[in-house]
Amino acid sequence: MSKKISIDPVTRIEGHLAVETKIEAGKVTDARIAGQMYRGFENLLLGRHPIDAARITQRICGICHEVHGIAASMALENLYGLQPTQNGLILRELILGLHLVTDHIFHFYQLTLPDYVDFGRLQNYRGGDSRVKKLAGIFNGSNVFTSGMITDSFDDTGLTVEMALGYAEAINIRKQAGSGLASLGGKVPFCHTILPGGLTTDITSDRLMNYANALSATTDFIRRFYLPQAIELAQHFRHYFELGQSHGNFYGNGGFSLSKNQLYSGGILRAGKRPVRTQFAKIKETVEATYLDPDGTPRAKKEGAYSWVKAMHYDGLPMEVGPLARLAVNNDREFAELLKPFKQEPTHSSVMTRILARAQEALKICFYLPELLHQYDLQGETINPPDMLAKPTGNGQGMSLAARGALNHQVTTENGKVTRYRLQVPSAWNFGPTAGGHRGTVEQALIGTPVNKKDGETAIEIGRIVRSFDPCLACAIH
Amino acid sequence: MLTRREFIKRCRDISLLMCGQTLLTRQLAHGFLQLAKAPPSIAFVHAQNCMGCTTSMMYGNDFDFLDFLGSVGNLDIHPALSFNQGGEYLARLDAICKEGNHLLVVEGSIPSDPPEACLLGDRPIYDVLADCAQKAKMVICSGSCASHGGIPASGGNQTGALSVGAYLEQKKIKVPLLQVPGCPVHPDHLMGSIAYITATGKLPPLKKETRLPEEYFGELLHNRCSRYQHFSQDKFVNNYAKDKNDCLLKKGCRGPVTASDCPVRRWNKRTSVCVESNTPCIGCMNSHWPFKSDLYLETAEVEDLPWSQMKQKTNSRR
Repeated sequence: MSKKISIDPVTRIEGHLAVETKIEAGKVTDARIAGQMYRGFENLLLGRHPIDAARITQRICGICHEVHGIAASMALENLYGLQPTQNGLILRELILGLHLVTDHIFHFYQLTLPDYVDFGRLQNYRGGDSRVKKLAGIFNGSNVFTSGMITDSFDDTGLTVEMALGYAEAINIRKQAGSGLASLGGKVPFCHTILPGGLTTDITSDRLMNYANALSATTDFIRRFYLPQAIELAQHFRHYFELGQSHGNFYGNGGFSLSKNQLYSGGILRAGKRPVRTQFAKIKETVEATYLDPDGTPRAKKEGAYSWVKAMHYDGLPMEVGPLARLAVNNDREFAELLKPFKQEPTHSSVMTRILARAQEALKICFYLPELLHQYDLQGETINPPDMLAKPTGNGQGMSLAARGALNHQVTTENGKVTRYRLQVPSAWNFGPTAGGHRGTVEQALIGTPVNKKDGETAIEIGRIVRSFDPCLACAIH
Repeated sequence: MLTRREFIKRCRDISLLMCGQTLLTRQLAHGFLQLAKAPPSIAFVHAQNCMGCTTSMMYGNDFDFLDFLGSVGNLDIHPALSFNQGGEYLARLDAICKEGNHLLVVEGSIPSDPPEACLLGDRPIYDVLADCAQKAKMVICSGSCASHGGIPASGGNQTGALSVGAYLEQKKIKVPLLQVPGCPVHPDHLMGSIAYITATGKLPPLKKETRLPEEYFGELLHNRCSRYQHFSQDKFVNNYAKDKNDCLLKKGCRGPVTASDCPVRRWNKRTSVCVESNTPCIGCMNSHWPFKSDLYLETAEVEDLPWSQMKQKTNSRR
């Protein structure tokens, strides 16, 4: 006998997402992931000035707010034949890096932790710390922060208090990191200083100093809170190393390559094979199960479709993208060290390896960025400005990375107007529907999950697996 | 426990903080007493949005998000923060909306054709939002998409995206509406407006012509710009690499046609703002945002244009 369990909406993610699963003998045997909101970015850019793309595409997503601006600028540089200045490249990486880190912090504390930690336990707190009392007031006073979902959380008020302090501190540290980003980018979300060719800002030593302060505070937070607490979580929920396994194929783009210790080179890693270089022509999008015609016209009543997300395939296969994919493709040593006590490999796809990969990547980036600050030339130029009056005809491509994985922008223009814009976005790789006989990455990850719930009840296991991929549906569908 | 005198004193301080005058002391005191009785519940609903407005609110500026949570109103449901999910989440939303008298904060535009372009719990948001707004005390549009349609409503508008105002009119729902545009919304603009409403029970004073909160959108950005002196001395940015402090008008700055207090309020712990970082205002708080094309006008197009024609030029890109 089979039954159905659906979660609609999946909260604590970016965007609108529904999950439907079929359960047989207490295990998930089939799963459907449906993206639920469409705006049509590829269409609404048509006919616009190419440079507009650097501003408009940023608005695809307000959580990963800088990444699209950067990828679009790279595509436009390719189109205009523009070489950015070295300073411009450094500033761009400084913004991208710190932004990625704050994104990971947000995902762990605000989006993930409430799945594992019962913050209701705060009311048992008997100590005198006024910060905790204030937090207990917030957590117990608002319906947002109450749920009866968790039954398997750790029975430890002290640890709960520490994690709750992390939850609050994460909001504070993001505020400070935001100030660091704004000193280079003007403001966040959506830095308007990022243009093809570099950054417009007048970079003074005090602006760099403000950034450096924010960076060191963020690094400190990761070392004191984020990484230790992620490890703590993995220790308490060891069985989540066995859940949420995707097809085992990974795709990552290269990045953070300005210093001699390049963080990532790009590549494809298929299960059981060695990593190989990405061949761009092998990336294909299909709309078989998507509410879109092949030309991109929305068709909400399309037969056989169940999601707004396009299916992304490399050489006909779905790929997992994200921090874990980047670390796996690069066979990261430090990450392997981190996983040793858990007896796990860095190429093992699971809920906990994804959560730990994110924390590990955050620290890696924080150690990488200060070197760029030293490389920065205060006398050099920040931008090689684009000629806004030029009317280019041609193609441009930008390959970059976002918190959630590999990001590609492609622009085609005729006589200074955009005639085609294509976005290949991380969450589309992960959250795509079944197509070409292959389940989407997250759909596959749900198969085999043990679930002990009745019809209609909320299954926490499913939510945990889905959130471990850090869903960003606004990006995935755009 | 506060004494009456201390209480009034604090209300006065808050009034000073909010508008630089003690004018609102009485209203605030009255508001807080109301608040002590029944804090209005705040419900966030996301339509065709990008979450940038929520992210902006959480970054904060003068307003701090944690303090906002702790001391203003009662955040009752939020798609990105709520601990519950699925059926439990929908039941909570339903309960809030049935009880009524809540502050409904909407982020994103509403797709009308096809309405399936945004679903919540398998129902089009086009239907869900009517249930949410029917008994609301007030509806607050957070950001440009909710206020004016924004990016989803631009270009070909494949989904028939509507602003919340246009939507409520179509559905014939009459409820006090507050628009707080911005792409993203400024944290102080949103949290400040909500704080004002919870404290006084009323909409903040609105500017006559635009119906936007006077305090934040009372004056053109250009008039409050830190580079105004450069403008009056005819010093303009020509090359982004060389000119770092001059007026950005001839790079197509939309400060002269966009109302906002951005330049004095600034962003992210008052760190900076677009114009101060040498990049022109692209008018994200303008009701025509994101215009038809050409977010960046160039010198050759705006050179030596008189004021009136400059306005015409930017408006022609609607």
